[in-house]
Amino acid sequence: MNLWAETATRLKRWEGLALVAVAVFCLGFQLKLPSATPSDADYQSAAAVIEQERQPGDVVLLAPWFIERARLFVPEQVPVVGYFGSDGDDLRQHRRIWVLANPALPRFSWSAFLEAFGRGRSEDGPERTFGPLALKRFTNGRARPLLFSAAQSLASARVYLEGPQGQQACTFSGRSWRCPNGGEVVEEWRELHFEPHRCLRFYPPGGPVKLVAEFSGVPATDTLQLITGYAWERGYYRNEGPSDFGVEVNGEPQVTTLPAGIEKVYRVDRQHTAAGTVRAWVQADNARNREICFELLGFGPEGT
Amino acid sequence: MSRKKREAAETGPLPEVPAVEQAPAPPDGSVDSRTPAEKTLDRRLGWGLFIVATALLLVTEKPAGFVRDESVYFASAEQHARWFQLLASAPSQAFTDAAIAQSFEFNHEHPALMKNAYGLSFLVLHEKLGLLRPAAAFRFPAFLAAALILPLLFSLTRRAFGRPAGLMAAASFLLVPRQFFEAHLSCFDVPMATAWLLVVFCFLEALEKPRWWLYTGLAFGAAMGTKHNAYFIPVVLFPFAFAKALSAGSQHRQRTGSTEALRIVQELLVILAATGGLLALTGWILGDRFLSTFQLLSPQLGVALLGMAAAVWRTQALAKVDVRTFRAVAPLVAMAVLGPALFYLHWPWLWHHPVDRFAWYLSFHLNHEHYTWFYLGELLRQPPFPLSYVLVKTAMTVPTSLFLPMVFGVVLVIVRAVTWRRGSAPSAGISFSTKTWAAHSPVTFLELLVLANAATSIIVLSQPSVPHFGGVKHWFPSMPFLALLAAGSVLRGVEGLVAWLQPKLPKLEVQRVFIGVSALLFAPALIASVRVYPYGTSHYSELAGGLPGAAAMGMQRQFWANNVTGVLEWINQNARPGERVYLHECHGGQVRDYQRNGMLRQDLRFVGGPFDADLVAYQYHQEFRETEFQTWQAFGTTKPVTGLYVDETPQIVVYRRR
Repeated sequence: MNLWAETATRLKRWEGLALVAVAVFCLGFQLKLPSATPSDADYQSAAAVIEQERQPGDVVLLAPWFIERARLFVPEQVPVVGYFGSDGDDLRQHRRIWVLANPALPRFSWSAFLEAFGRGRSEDGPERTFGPLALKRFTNGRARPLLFSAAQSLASARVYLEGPQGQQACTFSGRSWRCPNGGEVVEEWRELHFEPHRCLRFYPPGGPVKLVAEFSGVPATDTLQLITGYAWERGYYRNEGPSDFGVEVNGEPQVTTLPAGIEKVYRVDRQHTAAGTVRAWVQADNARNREICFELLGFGPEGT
Repeated sequence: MSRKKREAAETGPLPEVPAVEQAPAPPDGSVDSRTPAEKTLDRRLGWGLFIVATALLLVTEKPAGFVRDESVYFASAEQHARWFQLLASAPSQAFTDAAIAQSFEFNHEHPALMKNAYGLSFLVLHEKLGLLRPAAAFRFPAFLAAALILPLLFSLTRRAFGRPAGLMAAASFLLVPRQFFEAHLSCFDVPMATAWLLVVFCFLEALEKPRWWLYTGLAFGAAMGTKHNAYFIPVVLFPFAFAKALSAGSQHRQRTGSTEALRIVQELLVILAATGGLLALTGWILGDRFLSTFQLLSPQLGVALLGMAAAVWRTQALAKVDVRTFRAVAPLVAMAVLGPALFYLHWPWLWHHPVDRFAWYLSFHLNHEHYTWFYLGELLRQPPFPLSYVLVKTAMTVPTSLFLPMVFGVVLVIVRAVTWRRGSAPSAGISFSTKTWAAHSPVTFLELLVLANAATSIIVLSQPSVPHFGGVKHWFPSMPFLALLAAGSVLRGVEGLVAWLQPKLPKLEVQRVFIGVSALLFAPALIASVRVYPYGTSHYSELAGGLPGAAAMGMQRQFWANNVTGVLEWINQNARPGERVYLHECHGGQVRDYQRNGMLRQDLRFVGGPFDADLVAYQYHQEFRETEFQTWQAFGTTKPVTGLYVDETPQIVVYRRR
């Protein structure tokens, strides 16, 4: 008996069987794939249900996150959330979540989705299907009542530059604050590491000078959440150095450092803040490319 | 007892497998035992493959969008064409550096061969004859270059595995959707794959036939004129050429008792090693200054020229001693001499300032910038890049039914190469003798050469410091060689299946089963190609889970800005007269080419960003998400009006200002 020869013969056979098996699998995959594409009518039907049953505070979450075609159909009054990693988004401002899913797509797994999404959420009504699409409504147990939003309070804020020479006031122009250094504080859509955020442009002036937005009359919160980061690809620029983002509640500071060279979204929760004045400030020794944007949200306790 | 009988006695009876109709290639793949009729048939098949591939590319050309680089090459090629017109009308003026600079300065980061061909084709097929639209006329030489891969691949594969395998390998090259798409483009990646394959083909021919050493040198010159990947070809061929030369020299000694052939080969080795070593040492000592000190009268150039002259001198001497030894090294020497000479001659840009401009060209590619690339959920922006990137990306983009035989082909050649000489005596009735293994599937010189060429581009581009953008195109030169090894795997697998099934199905024939299995392997690749075309840069394989699977894993799902063709029709039909349009990621050259080829309305005004636009066609890239959100900001809406979605993945999303 020669084991090499026998092994070679067997290998040839297995090689052939493996090739045929893989070819059959691939053929099946290619033939099945078109059935995972919903028709326009499928999307329209799903959108019609959302339109009929929507309530203020609803949101549509896409699963998987990239089925962006849904945006063409979903009523504009209902925000659509779908970005790389959106399965785990708390969606704190939304009490009800419509999950518009396409479970037929390759590599989509309900269980994996629910692992990221499911905590604190409960199904609210039956699943409805439209072709390969599935529409499920959930009650968002992670939702919290919004008590304060820096963006919504921008007009009543006080914005200024603060440096060794003292304060220099910025002026409000009806929509944004314009500062003596040419900077502007304005609410706008920006990208923070793949995520769309409606946030406040807040570029550090450079050197020891801080850009400050001061909000008075802020109610007590269960959670004061800071969401910030460098916009777009600015975090990647590593030669400019870090930035510091401070949030002071009635003079009690909490500083978050945004290192250079790191692209991420910073979410910093501060529990049980007292009513009073909140000062948000940013400072970077080298301001080049330090395009920072932030949201500051005050939430009430669960169930209020 | 014959060797075959001895081995049969040693191993016990093995199933008789009828051979595929093929030229039974000897272990070194060297002797052509085909009959004249078979040679004619093969020639006709080669031509047939070439013509069918050219025609296929021509008829499917129109939907293929103009990638970012291609519009640059169109413009550059057109300027080259104008210089050729000047050459015909005022030759003395054409040879001045001013005239040359006017036509060749633009896009001089790439050599001129293909752009010359694109420009001349445009001049003849569009401007003079009016046969083709401008883009098709520019692209026609690219079709020819891509189509040439098929007969070359057929011929090489036939030598190793027979005619049906040759046909299978050839056809499989165009069944990889990314390769099929890029075969349409007036770029350099597919032509580079052709040029590399051509050099290896000529090298193999040169081992057996007169004059092919010259053709190898010319082919290498063409490769150098196509793209800088060519510089790795001699590195791959060097050990094979000298192994062959040393073997031939030894045989010559055995035949004649003369050691002269061996001695000259050793001298050539010393000359080439000394020349290369000196240049490498100078480069190591001078570092970044190496290129800047490479002057016309510099020691570096002197060393290179002296080395070449000495190599030519010794090779000439070798020709008089032993022709087989000569044929092994002559192609390399021809490459060393003719390659640079042709490179210089074909590119007028080098004529007046050869050293400075060549140094700039090399320096540009040695210090190429990095473009952001989305890979497994991470934005790769700068080195070090993941070592596994090239392998993973290949596995995820080559149709799995074609990729698996490539893997089997590579692994089997490696295993057989490693075990080839590891024999041991039979013991206790159980033999691990590699004689039997080798007798069944001896690893051949051709297979090893193919393996080396398949691996080189992949190994080079896997280096963590090498730019990793551009999908898989940068290692296209590996793909024909992988296709060849894949065909070998399919043949082996079919032989195994037939041997297994023949006791039950005695009428089974290897050739028919081979055709059936090949068709089965091709079918998913063909469906995928048809399905994704013309969005070829977006294709992902079954292993990735197609485009949706790739999206789920966080992979780059398009690049080069050609998918915008998916919404041009909508824009043409729905844009208001004179409307301001922002085609994200498309530069002015692409807009010009879409308008010039009748794919985009002439009245539209194209602007540089969403804040200046009324209509935005955003290209969905992870690294450009900011642009979409700027559009939301500028237009006051998050709701698109249309888009291109391929297998539910967003490619192009169109917004309109309210």
